[in-house]
Amino acid sequence: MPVLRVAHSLTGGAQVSMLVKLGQADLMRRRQARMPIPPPISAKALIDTGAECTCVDPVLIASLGLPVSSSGLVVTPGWLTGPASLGGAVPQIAHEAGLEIVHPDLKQNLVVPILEVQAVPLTGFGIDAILGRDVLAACVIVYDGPAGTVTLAY
Amino acid sequence: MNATLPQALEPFREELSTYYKELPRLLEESCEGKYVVIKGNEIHGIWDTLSDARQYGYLRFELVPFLSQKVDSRFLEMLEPLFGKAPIPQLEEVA
Repeated sequence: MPVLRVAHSLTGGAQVSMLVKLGQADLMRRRQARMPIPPPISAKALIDTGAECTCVDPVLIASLGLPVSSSGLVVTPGWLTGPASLGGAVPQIAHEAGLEIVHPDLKQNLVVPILEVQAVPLTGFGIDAILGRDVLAACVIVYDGPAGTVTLAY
Repeated sequence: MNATLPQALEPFREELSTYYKELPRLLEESCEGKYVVIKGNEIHGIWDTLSDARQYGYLRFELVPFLSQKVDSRFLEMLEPLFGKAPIPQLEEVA
């Protein structure tokens, strides 16, 4: 089981390096249609067990041309615009994507061939993505506050 | 509450309306967590995974955008301000 250990801080949280790329189905379609295939884009992702789904900054999504897949649900604390019982969730655009969490030994990257990512502006917070519970569901996470480390095993 | 769709979802307004209308029936048929492929006012199949739904959609519609929406009961409440009250599914009569 690959293990990835990263440092965390009070201000920046725990961040991992990630590759954002085309989702598997989109990749197959583009290959068959002989369409150009953009290379993966490196991103800084915050590990966030409070996020239901993984979010990616719209700039990265546009760079890759990720296709719209559905309407997702995004709850933005302190910004109550949708039904209160849903925590203010509003319809949000979701895109088909693929992800890799980068391990120092690249063969041990955590590869997610296809998932839906929500387009949320994040670069203003110094990150490109939020790694939500949809991806973290495949991981064992150990948050060691005193040591200042977070360990992901998958 | 002033409900609006994000601009990028506007081209899928008809598909989302179709999803919303069909959602009570899909939930009644225990499809929660599955994915439906929607184009226009028609549902083109129910799939267990996003991958299957996307692959089917690309085969069926090629380069034309379509929606592959997860069946999620929370959308009933969230989409109501946009599309009105969802229809209640008609239960089959028990003989």
